[in-house]
Amino acid sequence: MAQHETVDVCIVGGGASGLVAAKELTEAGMTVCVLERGPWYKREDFALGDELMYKRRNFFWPTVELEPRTWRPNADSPSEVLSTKTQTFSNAMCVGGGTIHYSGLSWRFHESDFRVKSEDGPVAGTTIEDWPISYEDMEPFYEKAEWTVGVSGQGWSSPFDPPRKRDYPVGPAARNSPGAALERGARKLGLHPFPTPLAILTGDYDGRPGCIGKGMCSSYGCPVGAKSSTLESMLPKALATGRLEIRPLCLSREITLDRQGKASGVTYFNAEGEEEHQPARLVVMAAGGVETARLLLLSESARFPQGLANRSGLVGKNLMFHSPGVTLVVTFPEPLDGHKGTSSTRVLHDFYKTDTSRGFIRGGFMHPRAHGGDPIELALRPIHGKRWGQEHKDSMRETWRHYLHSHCTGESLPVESNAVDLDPDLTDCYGLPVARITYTSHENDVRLATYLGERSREIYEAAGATRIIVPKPETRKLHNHQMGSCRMGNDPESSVVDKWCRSHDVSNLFIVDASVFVTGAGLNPTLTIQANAFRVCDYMVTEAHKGNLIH
Amino acid sequence: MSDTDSGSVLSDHERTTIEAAAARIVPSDEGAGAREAGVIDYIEGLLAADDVDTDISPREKKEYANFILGGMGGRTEEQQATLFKLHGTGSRHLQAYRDGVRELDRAAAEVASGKDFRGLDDEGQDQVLTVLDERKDPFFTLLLTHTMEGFYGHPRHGGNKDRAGWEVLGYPGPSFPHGNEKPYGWYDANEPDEFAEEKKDRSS
Ligand SMILES: Cc1cc2nc3c(=O)[nH]c(=O)nc-3n(C[C@H](O)[C@H](O)[C@H](O)COP(=O)(O)OP(=O)(O)OC[C@H]3O[C@@H](n4cnc5c(N)ncnc54)[C@H](O)[C@@H]3O)c2cc1C
Ligand code: SF4
Repeated sequence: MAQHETVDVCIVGGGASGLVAAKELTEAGMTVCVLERGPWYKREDFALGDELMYKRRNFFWPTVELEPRTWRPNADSPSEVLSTKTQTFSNAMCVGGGTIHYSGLSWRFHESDFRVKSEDGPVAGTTIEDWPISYEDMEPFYEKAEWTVGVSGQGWSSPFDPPRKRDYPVGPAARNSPGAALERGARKLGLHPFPTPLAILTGDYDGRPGCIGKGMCSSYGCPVGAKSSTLESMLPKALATGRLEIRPLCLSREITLDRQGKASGVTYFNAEGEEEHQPARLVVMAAGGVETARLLLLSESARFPQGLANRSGLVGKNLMFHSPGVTLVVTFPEPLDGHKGTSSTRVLHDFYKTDTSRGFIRGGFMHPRAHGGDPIELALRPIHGKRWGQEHKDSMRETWRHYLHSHCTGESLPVESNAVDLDPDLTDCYGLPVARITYTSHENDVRLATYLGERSREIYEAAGATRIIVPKPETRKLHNHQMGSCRMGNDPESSVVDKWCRSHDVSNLFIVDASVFVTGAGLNPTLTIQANAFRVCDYMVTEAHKGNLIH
Repeated sequence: MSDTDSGSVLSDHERTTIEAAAARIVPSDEGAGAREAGVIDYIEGLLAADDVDTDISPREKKEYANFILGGMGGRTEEQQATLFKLHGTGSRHLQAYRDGVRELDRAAAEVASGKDFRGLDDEGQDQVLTVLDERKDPFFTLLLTHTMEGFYGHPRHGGNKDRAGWEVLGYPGPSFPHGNEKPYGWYDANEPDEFAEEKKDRSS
């Protein structure tokens, strides 16, 4: 097996969190190798405006034929192979990961999100806990993330926001018509809409241009460089240090151990399918909440028969995918022209805090979206009366300029049996057992999703919508928010990593993606993933300088 | 494979039957339908695409995809086209289409004995398709999906000729590199915006 020269740090996964770590650690003087299983696309690769290629084929995702995953509702049910449709609503596998095609909603979790158990617990059937860190611990790193990633927004515009010391580096995105419609309805109801904070530049910043409002934003890459993906915001800086090597099309299959039981590096398949080994003094896992857990479980050894860093038995458990929808489809009498602009520009947090009179704890928010210009997706939505024929075509004409889809995002409570493990019956094209997901939303999540759907309906009614379709909560099988599968905590018996996201069992192994989340908040996770990665890297650099990490 | 000289993977009969069915899924009216938009060319392109799918192991397929994506990157039109095909499942779908055409003809004969699907009038064809739709026939769903893809998808894949599908919607098509100016729609133009006066750049 080909051996590479030892580096200070090997990072598995070059996505939202992995490239934050690559930048921070190379800038601090460490040599870093990033192993990324997907290709290394460049800005110009995203220029085609092609719904078919980017959204409906495997430009961003491996095919389900070559790299499947399975799902079952509980341990007593057989598992099914996840469909292409489900798989393609997961995070991209390429340099930049999910930040290439995300919508960019960039939240600070609220203060209560870090102490769910003491505020609202305990709840039967869940493993809710407080985080070992608080909002105050995170605050400086949220600010750092907002200014380093490049987040636009308007500070202090939501009365429900947690405290901040500094505004966003650039002002909010131009309001689109779905956002204006939300405002109209929400104001009538006395609610508090505000500009969505987005990892999308609205003017020149940090050497990149502002958004040109072209649509095809969520689920697409940005050909302008305005979207603050880690490909744009982190990678150039890490490369500029001369200390980063990034290896695309390299799929990690095992974290190796030395005799002392420390991580010694990573074994992977290169683009030609040959095995190579990258020795490293530190290993940082950043492969996402499903694949990080899978890789630890794949790395079993005599010392760790249940999988690496898994003495607690909790690797893969407590997986959280957020509450199960719902996504409304709403039409308006006047044109919204949702093919223009970025997807989300106005949101509200009025339903975020726990109110037990609602019959559930925690909350979430709603964000009406411009569709961005995806006529195939509209054509296949079950909203036209008929699926085909003249009636369908007429409905397409009537809806295209007049519809929005509105997402509800709410907290999902951690449940130990919701988990990733290795499928005993199915392997990928490399012969490795695939990730099997066992997942059923907790009753609290379902109530919350239903509630947010109904509140959304009222808002759009007040806004004068002509038609509002509120579907039933979905069956969550997979999601692009993948959290909790290696939770952090102070007690090695009940958590996988400590509060610095360092494995309790393997002292030179860190995890920086959302696997470490204790609870998931009711907000998109990426800014928190990244702020936490900044925090963990800050600790790693300090410890390294003290000689405690790298000898 | 083919019983014509056209180089197509479909026979004339298969081709025209699929074309006729697609034309009922998106009918022509004052605007273009699947027929004018060349949906059949899109579908044929898909079905013809996948030689690689059949002959090599999954592992080799992965390595081939990596080969196209790596090195120079999957950046030329040609590389992207290859990748698109590689990620399709044309060869598997080809059999589904062959069987599907037979099924359309069989069901047609039940509607009007002695006729095949092409031989029915619009109403008869709709009747046949409705039967398949109502019993959740997987071929019908495949055909429906591909018809929508070929009608409303990007013209670079052979369908949506002259942007005929987009024209039906009043969609000007993707707007890169020019982008869009405000206002975008009626509501952002007419609903008061209390956050409009914000200064954009705060770094200085
Ligand atoms: C359409 C869409 C819209 C979204 N919108 C938002 C939003 O508005 N706001 C928000 O906060 N979040 C959003 N998300 C979610 C966001 O993209 C993810 O939360 C985020 O990218 C997760 O970061 P990560 O670092 O954990 O993993 P990722 O960014 O997914 O990166 C993981 C990387 O690891 C690589 N990898 C995995 N396994 C291996 C292996 N074995 N070897 C080598 N490499 C490996 C993957 O290829 C990937 O590149 C959206 C996602 C999608 C799909
Ligand atoms: S809408 Fe703006 S940020 Fe989004 S892809 Fe287009 S230019 Fe980039």
